[in-house]
This record gives sequence, structure tokens and C-alpha cells, in this order.
Amino acid sequence: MSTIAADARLATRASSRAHSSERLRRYLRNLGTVVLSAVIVVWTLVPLYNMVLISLEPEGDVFTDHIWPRVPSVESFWGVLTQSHWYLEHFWRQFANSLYIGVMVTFFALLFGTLTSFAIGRMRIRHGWLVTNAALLTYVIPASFLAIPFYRIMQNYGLANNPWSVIAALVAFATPYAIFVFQEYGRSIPIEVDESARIDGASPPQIYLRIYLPLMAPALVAVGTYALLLAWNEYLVSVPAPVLEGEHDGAGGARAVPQQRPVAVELHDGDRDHLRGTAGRDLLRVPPAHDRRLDDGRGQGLTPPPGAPRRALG
Amino acid sequence: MNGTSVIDVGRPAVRRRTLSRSLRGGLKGGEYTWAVAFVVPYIAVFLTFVAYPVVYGLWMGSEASLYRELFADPIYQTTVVNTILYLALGVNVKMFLALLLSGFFMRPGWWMKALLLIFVLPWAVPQISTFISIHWMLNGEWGFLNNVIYTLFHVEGPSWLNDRWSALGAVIVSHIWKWTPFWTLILLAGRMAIPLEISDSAKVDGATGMRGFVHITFPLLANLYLICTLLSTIFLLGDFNAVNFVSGGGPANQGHVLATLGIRNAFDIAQPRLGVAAVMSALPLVIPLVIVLMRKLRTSEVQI
Repeated sequence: MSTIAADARLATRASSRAHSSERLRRYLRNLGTVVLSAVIVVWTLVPLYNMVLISLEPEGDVFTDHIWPRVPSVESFWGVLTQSHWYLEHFWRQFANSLYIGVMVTFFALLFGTLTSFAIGRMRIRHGWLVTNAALLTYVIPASFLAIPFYRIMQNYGLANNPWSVIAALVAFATPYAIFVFQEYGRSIPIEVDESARIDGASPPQIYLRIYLPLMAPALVAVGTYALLLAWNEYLVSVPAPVLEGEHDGAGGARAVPQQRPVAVELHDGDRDHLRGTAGRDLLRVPPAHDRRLDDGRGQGLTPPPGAPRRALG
Repeated sequence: MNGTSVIDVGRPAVRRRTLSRSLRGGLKGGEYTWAVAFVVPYIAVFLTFVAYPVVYGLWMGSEASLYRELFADPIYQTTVVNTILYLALGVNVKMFLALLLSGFFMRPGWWMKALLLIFVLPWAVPQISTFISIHWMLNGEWGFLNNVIYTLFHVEGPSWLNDRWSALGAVIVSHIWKWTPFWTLILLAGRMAIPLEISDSAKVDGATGMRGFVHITFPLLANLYLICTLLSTIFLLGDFNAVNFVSGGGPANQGHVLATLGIRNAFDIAQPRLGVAAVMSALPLVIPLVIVLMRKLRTSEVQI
């Protein structure tokens, strides 16, 4: 009887020790989680906070050393929306360009993507896998490698300084992903649906329009969003083609007039006035203060602003 | 089940179809024409805007004298060193962080989900404006980072972008900031795909914590990790935005990578052939990567 009681006492003591070490371990682990979480939050948010901070600075207040907006001001946003500053005189036009390019790219990527995936995945055309694989090869070609030939080719095609050159290039980039996703998603739709429609006398275009597209709606939304964002954010192919080889006027004079630029290009291709650009897309992101003096400050001696002064140094 | 429906079975059409399938993939005349018509638009886009530019680029960069000129350029030499550092650190630090963080985000609880939502923000926001924000943040005179340093320690921080190494470091860190969330999500999906029975039985056998990771989780993730690393290397090699917007290839052209040097040569100094040559000099690295990647993708398909 007593041995049993002693055993029980021992067991409780051991288990309470185990408990306390377990509690300590859990406490340490929670502490670690909290610290790591805090680090992740700060790390993630600092560049984004900086963007908000600059956008809320009143004009001329950018050079002070405070790290929070002392007098938050929405002047910059107002300046963008009303195109009141000379950098921003084409803002709405540029916004419309972006929208136009985005919508067109989305439309054609979805159209070509669904047609191709329908023919390959549903109609099972022979050698369809060859098309899918070739399409995916698009993504293993480094983007900057394609960019330079693009300019030349667009001139050969007579598309230089034409938004359709950008649209065509972006459709070529977006469609392989669309085909891939549509084919994967299409596997979840039983092929019997198509076959019974065929037996009922539906032609391939009818099956495509009335059966395939409605059933693919969720995938269409997902890929459409992807294509729209891709087009909206594209910079490299959207810079209108300068004259290649031979005379280069150094100042980018051969580039498209501002009215033809999409905002992603304006965002940076303001070159000498970087700011105009960033402000140019404020409806998606936050614009900075539109202070001319900022430009002069950001060169920082040897550090050229990406763009124009590099030419001088190169 | 694929390709035949309940209704079709036993109909004479079946025999005809198997015969024509060998010719046209099972499509009747009119249908075959339709299928071809459906594929043609994309094939046309691919040929005119992907295949032709690639061939054109290869042609533009096919002269040997270009490479002599290129290799003699001191800017090119620093660019190669930068590119190697950018690839080695950018890809590996990012992927390793993603591997660790994907394990962290596997923990249960609403807090983890909320944190994950914040964590994916860098990936979700448009890159150009955030890279420009980082560029401004690092300004030596009025940048946010130096303001913070001044507020905390009352010392002036360095001009981050005026030094070759800190400028390159800033680019690498920006890349890691931007792309770690994406690869974390991919690896998180990979971890979630590991059947619960495997990790459970491993736990019963005593493989918990570090041992579980080394002997169970990582071997199962290894193929995915390798594929992600290869893909990320290829993407990074073609990446123009991070370098261009954060450091602009500066200071004084000391911070270029091959992608930005190519664009600079082509457009800023108006020598597109030299630009193509700069980008193409990475092909000896890209081609083996693509071949390994394709093989890995094929084996992983077989495994699944």
C-alpha cells in the first residue's frame, strides 16, 4: 500500500517537473514566435511604409529628418488627380493607355489561351503537347534577352510607337501561363460533358462557347487578373522603341510622346523627373510628393538616377 | 474512361474513331479543321513574338568580334562578378529563407494566417513603385533608413547607393524582400502536400523536430526545392527591374548585372548588338540550367 503511494508521489513529482520544463519550452517557443513575427512584420512593411510616408508629405517637406508624417497632406494625390503639376499633365491619358493595354492583353490572352487549351485538352488534337511545351519554353528565356530584339522586330513589323507592339509582346508572355492553367483546370471537367454535347449535334465552336467557357469561369477570372496585372506592371517592353543603331539622340528623343505612354513607363521613363512617374500610378499605389527639388537631391553625387544621367556616365 | 463515354460504347463510331485517331487524334474531318483553327492564333503569336525574336537575337549576337569587344570592356568584367554574386546570394539566401519560413508558417492558429497575409504583401504589390521606394529609402541625405539611424543613434548613415558593394547588397536585399514570399508560398504548398500519415508515423518513430526535418521533410521537398532554385536562377538572370530601379546599375556603372548591362548597351549607348552579346554571354549558364530543369520536371511528373 505504502509503496503504491510512494510510487504515485514520485510519479506526480516527475510529471510536475516534466510539466514545468514543458511549460518553459512552450514559453520559449511562443517568445520565439512573437519575436520572429515582429521581425517579419517590420521587414515586410518598411518599404511600403516609406511609400505612404513620402506620399503624405506636404510639398517641400521631404528633406527633413522625421520618420513619420508630421503634417499628413493629400496634396500629392490631389495634384495627380487634377493633373495640376506639369509633370502630370498627361496623367489621365496615360492611365487610359494602361487600361487600354491591360484590357486588350487580358482579352487576347484569355481568347488564345482558351482556344488553344480547348483544342489540345478537350479536342485532343495530335501533337498538342508539342504546342504546350513550346509555349512553356517562353518562360525559360530570360526576359531581358527578348527585350532587345523586340524593339527591332517591332520596327520590322511596322509597330514601333504603337500600343499594339506592347499588347502583342505581352499577349505572347501571358498566354503560355493561361494555356497551362486552363489545361490543368480543364482536367477537373469530365470530358463526357463535351461528348454528350457532340452527340446532340453541337459543333466545336458551340461546345467551346456554351460548355467550355461557362465551366471555365473561375479559371478565366484567375488568369484574367494575372494578365491584367502583368500588363499594368510591365516596364521593359513598354518603353517605346528608340532608334537603334546609328544616331541616338541621347535624350531619348525618339521615344514616344508622353501621351502614348502607359503609366508604368511614365512611372520611370520620366527619367530626369523620376517623380512624375511614380505619381503617375497613384491609383494603384501611393504617389510621392511632387517636389522638383527631390530630383536634384536624389542624384546623390555619383549615384545616377536610373535613366538619363547614366548616359552621361556611360 | 478518358475519351469514351457510356453512350459511345458499342457504337460503330468507336471503330472508325480508333482508325482515324491514328491520323488526326480522333477528330473527324470538320472537327479537325476546327481544332487546327483554334490552335493557329496562338501558334502565330508564338512564332512572330517569341520564336522569331529569339532567332533574331541569336543572329544579332552571332559575331565573334562583338564578344572580343565585350570581354575587353572593364564594365563587363565587373558586371560578370556582380551577376555571379547576385545569383549566388539572391537565389540561395532567398530559397533558404523561404524553406525555413514555410516551416514557420505551417504552424496552426489565426495569428499565423494573419501574418502570412502581411508577409505576402511584397509579392502582391507592383514591383516598380516598391523598388523606387527602396531607392529613395536608401538615399544618403534624406532617405528613410538614414533618418531612422539618425533618430535612434544620432549618427549620419552612409550613402548606401554610392558604394559599389552596398549598392549591390541593396539590390540583393530588395530582391529577397520582393520574392521570398512567393517561393515561401510554393514551398508551403509543397509541405502541405506531404501526406499526414508520413509525418505522423515519423513522429511515432521518434523523428521529431530537426530529425524529422532532415530525414523526412527535406528529402520529400528536395526535388521541389531544386526545381524552384533552378527556375528562380533563370528568372533572376533575366531580371531587369530590381537592379534598374534600386541602384540603376550605379554607382558609375559599377553595379550592373548582365540584364541591365544589355539594356544599357542597347539603348543608352546605342549598340544593340553589344547589348544582345552581353545578355547572350549568359547562355552557357542558361542552357544547362534549362536542360536540368526540363529533366527534373519530367521526373517529378513521373513520380506524381
